[in-house]
Amino acid sequence: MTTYATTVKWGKENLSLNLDPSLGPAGLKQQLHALTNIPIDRMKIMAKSKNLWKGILKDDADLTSFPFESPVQLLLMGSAEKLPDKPAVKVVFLEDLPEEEKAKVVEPSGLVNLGNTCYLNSVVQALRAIPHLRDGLRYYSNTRSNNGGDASSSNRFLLTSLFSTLSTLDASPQAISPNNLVMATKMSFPQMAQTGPGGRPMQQDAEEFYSGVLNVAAQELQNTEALRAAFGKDEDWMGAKNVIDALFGLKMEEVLTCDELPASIDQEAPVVTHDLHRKLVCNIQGANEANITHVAEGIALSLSGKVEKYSEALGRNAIYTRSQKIARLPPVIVVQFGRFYWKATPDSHDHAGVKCKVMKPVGFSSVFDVYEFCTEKVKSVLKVARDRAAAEEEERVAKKLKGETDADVDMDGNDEDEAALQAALAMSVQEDLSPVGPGLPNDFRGLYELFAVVTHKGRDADGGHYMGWVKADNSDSRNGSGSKQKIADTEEENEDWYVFDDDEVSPCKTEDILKLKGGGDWHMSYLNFYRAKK
Amino acid sequence: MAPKSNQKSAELTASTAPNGNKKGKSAKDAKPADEEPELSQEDAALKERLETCVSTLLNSANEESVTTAIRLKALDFIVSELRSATSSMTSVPKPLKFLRPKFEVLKGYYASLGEELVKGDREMLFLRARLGDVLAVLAMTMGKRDERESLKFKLRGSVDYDTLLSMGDTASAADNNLGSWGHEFVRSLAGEIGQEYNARMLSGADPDEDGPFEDLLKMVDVIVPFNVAHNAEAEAIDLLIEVQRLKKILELESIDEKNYRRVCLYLIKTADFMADPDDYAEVLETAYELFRKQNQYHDALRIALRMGNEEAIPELFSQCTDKLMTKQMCLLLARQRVNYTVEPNEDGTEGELNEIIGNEKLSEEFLKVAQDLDVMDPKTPEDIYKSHLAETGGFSRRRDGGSVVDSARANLASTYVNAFVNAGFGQDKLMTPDNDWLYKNKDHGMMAASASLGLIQLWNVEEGLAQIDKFLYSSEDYIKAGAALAVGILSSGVRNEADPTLALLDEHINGDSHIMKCASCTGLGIAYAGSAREDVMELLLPVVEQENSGPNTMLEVSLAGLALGMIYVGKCDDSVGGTIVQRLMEATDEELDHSHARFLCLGLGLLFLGRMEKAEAMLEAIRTIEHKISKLAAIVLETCAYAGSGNVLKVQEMLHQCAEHLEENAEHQMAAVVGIALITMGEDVGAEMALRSFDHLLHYCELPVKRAVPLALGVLNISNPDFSVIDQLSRLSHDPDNEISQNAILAMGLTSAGTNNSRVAGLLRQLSEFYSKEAGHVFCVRIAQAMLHMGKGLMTLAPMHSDRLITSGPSLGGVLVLIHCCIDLKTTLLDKTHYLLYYLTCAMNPRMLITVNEDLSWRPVTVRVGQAVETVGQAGKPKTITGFQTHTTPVLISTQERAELGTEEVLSVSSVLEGIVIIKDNPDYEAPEAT
Repeated sequence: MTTYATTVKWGKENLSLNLDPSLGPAGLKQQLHALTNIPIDRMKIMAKSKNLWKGILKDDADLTSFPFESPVQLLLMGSAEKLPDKPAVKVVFLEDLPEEEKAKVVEPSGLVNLGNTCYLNSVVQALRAIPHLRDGLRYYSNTRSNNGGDASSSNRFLLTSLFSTLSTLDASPQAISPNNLVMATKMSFPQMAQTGPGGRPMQQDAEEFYSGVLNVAAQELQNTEALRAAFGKDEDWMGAKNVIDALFGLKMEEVLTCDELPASIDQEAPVVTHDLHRKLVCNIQGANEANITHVAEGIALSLSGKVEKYSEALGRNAIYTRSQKIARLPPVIVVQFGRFYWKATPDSHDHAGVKCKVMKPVGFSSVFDVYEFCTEKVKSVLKVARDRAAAEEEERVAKKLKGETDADVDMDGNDEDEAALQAALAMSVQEDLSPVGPGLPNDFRGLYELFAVVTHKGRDADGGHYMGWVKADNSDSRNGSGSKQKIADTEEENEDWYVFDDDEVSPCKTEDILKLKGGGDWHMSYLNFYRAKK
Repeated sequence: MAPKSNQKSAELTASTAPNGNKKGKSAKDAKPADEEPELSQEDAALKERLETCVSTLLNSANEESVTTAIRLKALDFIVSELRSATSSMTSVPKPLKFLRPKFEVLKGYYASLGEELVKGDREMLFLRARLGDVLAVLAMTMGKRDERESLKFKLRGSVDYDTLLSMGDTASAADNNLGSWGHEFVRSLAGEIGQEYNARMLSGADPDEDGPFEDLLKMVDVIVPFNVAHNAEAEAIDLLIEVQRLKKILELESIDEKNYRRVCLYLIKTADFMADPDDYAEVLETAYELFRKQNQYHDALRIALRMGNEEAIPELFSQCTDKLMTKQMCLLLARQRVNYTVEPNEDGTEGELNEIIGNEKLSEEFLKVAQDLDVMDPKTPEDIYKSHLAETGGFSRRRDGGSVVDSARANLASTYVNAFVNAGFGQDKLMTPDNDWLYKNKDHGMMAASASLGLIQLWNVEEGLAQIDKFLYSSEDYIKAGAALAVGILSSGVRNEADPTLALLDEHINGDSHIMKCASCTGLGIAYAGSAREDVMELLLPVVEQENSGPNTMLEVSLAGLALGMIYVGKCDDSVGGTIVQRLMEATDEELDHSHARFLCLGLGLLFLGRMEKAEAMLEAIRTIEHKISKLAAIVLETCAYAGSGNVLKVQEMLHQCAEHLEENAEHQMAAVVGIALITMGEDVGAEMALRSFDHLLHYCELPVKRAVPLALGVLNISNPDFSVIDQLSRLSHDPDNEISQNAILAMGLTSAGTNNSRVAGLLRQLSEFYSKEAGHVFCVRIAQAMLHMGKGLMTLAPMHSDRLITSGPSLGGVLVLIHCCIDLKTTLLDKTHYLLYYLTCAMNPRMLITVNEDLSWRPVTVRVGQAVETVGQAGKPKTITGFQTHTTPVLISTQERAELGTEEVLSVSSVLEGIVIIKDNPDYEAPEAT
């Protein structure tokens, strides 16, 4: 029986064996199986030497008929490995998802401009990022049936269309048209249905729309149930009677002190009044002496001032210093930049003044500290948490430094620190820490984080363009129930924002937001939305 | 060209002369310009003597004492003065100047020397002959335009000299020496010969016969050797081309190892300007013969390949006795993907040689270069996208990377990016580690993913097959099809005795599964591109012929037709051509409406790629089809046939096609625009003119034409990211029309393919952000990025190689498949047949330069790499590169670059340093003495 020395190339390996043609293909495969463990039915043997078979060796081929010559060279294909199974869970692709699922993973959608409705679009995008408001509206549109007169029905239409716009936005991967909302807005606020020459809708003031919507919502979302629905739990509402006041309301304490009273006379106590605001105004016009460059300065300016008032002690009109402080903090603070004002022009032939815009830059940062604007009482509460946070921070830095110097010896020190901390905590718990506002955590430090900006571009109050800039929600369950607690949440390194230019949505960064301070022809902030930071 | 320039230079000399004088005069004294300048004493004497000589010669007084001998002497004086006068560029030689006023007189005298006067009078005859010469020289500047007086006098003089010779007066006849009158005279004469030749031809002389041109040809026989011997090879060739006797150059003794290279280079470059295919072939054949005569078989082979004349290969191999040269020729054949088998020879090296031609070691060498350049680490698609550099970096990455939900489109793009970037490296980070990625793709995407294994294992047939094999047993049809395609991709351009590709794909071609059939057809097309394998053809022909209508059938037919075109690229095979045309003619309208029917047309076009008039018959057949596709097919076929020919007439035809304002059914116009680029590619002047006409097309034409312009720009600059072209494409990539911008994006990828060009990388990154919401655009950007970083920058798609002399059919074919996909992106790359992208594999070649010893082991030497410089027709030894840097091999070479050896120590066997080059010791090298 003649055998032939054979080298079989298999991948990187060279196998050598003695080929016995009389055993047939099966015999050869058996030999190879012993060497390689390839299942016999998966072997493909091809000839490298000339004049042998063509292609793959067939199982019924007669090997003896081939003119073998040592050394025979063959090529073996086949692998002992099995192809791994398909993954148990089938991968779902974006392209296959239904619309509402898709909307969760792509960029949030925008709103189509229905004729100068960018003032509305931008505000809606900002309101979209306030889950409590949404929850309140949901409760409202689900529970209350249509009753009452004309006013309330138009109010109802406004709020339900606002809610449906917000929910459709979240469920759609493409931009949507807020037809109903625009219609409802024009019904509720007829002044916004103005048209200019040629029947084109005119540009409106975004702040006016914002205040209008909030007024309506304040009227409609009155009862405690709505409050509970909005916040998801019972809270101490601290005097807030409706959702809007609980969410946005700043209880202001105004103190009037008479400047002209001589120090010797101590008859007149400062007049203290309370008032409820839904926004802080940043007065950027400023008196002549003040040059406002930062939002805090502008707010401080608007919260103080001089008024002339009748003084009982003096028996005449006297100059009083008015100073407002915040007595109750809301989860969301809106700051309006007083960019538009009415300038009287008595000389002009047709009307008595023009709407003007202040273009000058007013800087703001992504975190807003309200501490200095608060009443002493609130301050004292905030201070506890602030001091603790400062101490913790100090400790952390110290620990880090220490850890770097000697990692071994710090065990005892650590324990001591721990003990000190425990003591401090115990102390602080004992203290009566009444919350400073509804929905705010006990250890609130008075810090607010910027999460939405409505900007205006253009030199004209009646024209230009509004855009909404909203911080991206990096949490996974953007629309889920878990987001209810999100309002006071902080994302340490979240620098991502979306800019909503009507139906165009594009990503941007915090640094782009901070550039919206004005001073040029680019967009400048008009309404800043802050939320409480944990 | 030559005659014109000669004439011009003659005019120039004539016209500049007075200027020179004027200048000299005004410097001396400020006399009015029209007065005769005051001559120096010397000049005055010379003038007087010449005038005396003339008057003696004329002997107008008929004095007896003035014998013919004396007149001859006078003439002699004139001749020697004329000959010995040296001149600068700015002035006419003095004797010539002084004789100018006498020209008419001398002419009159010459005319009076009738036959009866000189008959039998040897001296008179000689006098007339010489006077003819003198007049010829004078006529060079004096003669009137288009009268060719100089030539006339010279010809008459030659006749007289011949008579003298026949009279046995060799001494006098020896005076008939053109060269002695100087170069300027020879050049001017050569110009007039060309004109005279044309004039005679126009008046009815048959250019194929020597008879009517005998006198001219005689002179040519004198001028050409003179020119060649005096470093004026270009003029010699121009003259020969002018008189259509180029073959004469082969008989020249004076072409030797010193100047053949210059002669051949000039011939090669001249060939581009030959409008007539016959002339074109003749010029190249002449160069081929010259190389062969000098035993430069490698160069001869380059010319043969340039002409597409593969029949010459066996002849060259049998004649070449130099072992190293033979090996180098094999390397060239390997690069060109010529399926040639060396006959067994006596020393039994045919196995080794065939191995070289079969590219069996290509993978090994490529990996070695990769190791040497330290780029073995696999790259992920994210390494390419670099989204962290984008302005909204982290953000979009989160969305792209698919941590939330996988996008099938984005993953498909990543599959291709991964495949092209890691092509040939054998490892990657998505496909080889495990199979998770495979299932992150959908349907056809899954097929693309498993096929990408083939690209990753490119050229490494035996090991790659072992990895791919298991996928052939997958239960998922798409994975199986992908594996079949992978088998084809992997063995692209590589021969293996066992021929596993055919063996494995064989069964699926005749199988029932549609997707397997498509994959196998494409796989075969990629694997055997350019090989002209008959057994593969027999397998594919029935697929083309099948007829049971349905959308699937037409797809199979088209893909098989395309594969056949690739396999027989430029081979003009009758049975393939016949079958495809037959199928096109018999197809129903419905079938021809299929979006992929265009690939059947492209298959036909590829069959005749670069074969010019050979496609004529087929063209006629195609035009008879009564469907709009006939226009498309005709233009595709015609432009493919004239690809790289630079044929101006065809370019005009194509421009004419584009002039019609069509809004729809304008696919043929798109093909025409691409065709312009195809015709002019590889020829610099034509390509530049094409660039200009594209500007016009962008201004004045309808959308369909505009959409093809970026593609045409891409074709003109494959793997050559020229600054201005990238600029143009970058502008177009922001066009509001989706198809223009998508095509421009892909064209940017094509122009920068395999270069890692940072500018294009930046532009593409911007585009990916700009179009972040347009899925189609993002996909195009990804593919462009894949091309840009193809093979980690070690590869090129350029079809022209060997100093941009030879066009590789499979390469160009592969690129054309991409281009034709782009003509209708929506139904191809952006739909299901995106796997046609893998045809680019045929165009992928390493762009390295390796120097090796005789046994093909590496031998690093220093080389200079720099921008290639045109050296055609330049005197001396001009530098061939500029702005060079010195490297040690292996080194990468870009499209517009050229390399030369940086050391005297070694000699290269090949005249062109590209790819793998064998070097040997220089026997004449003397090591510089140690000091």
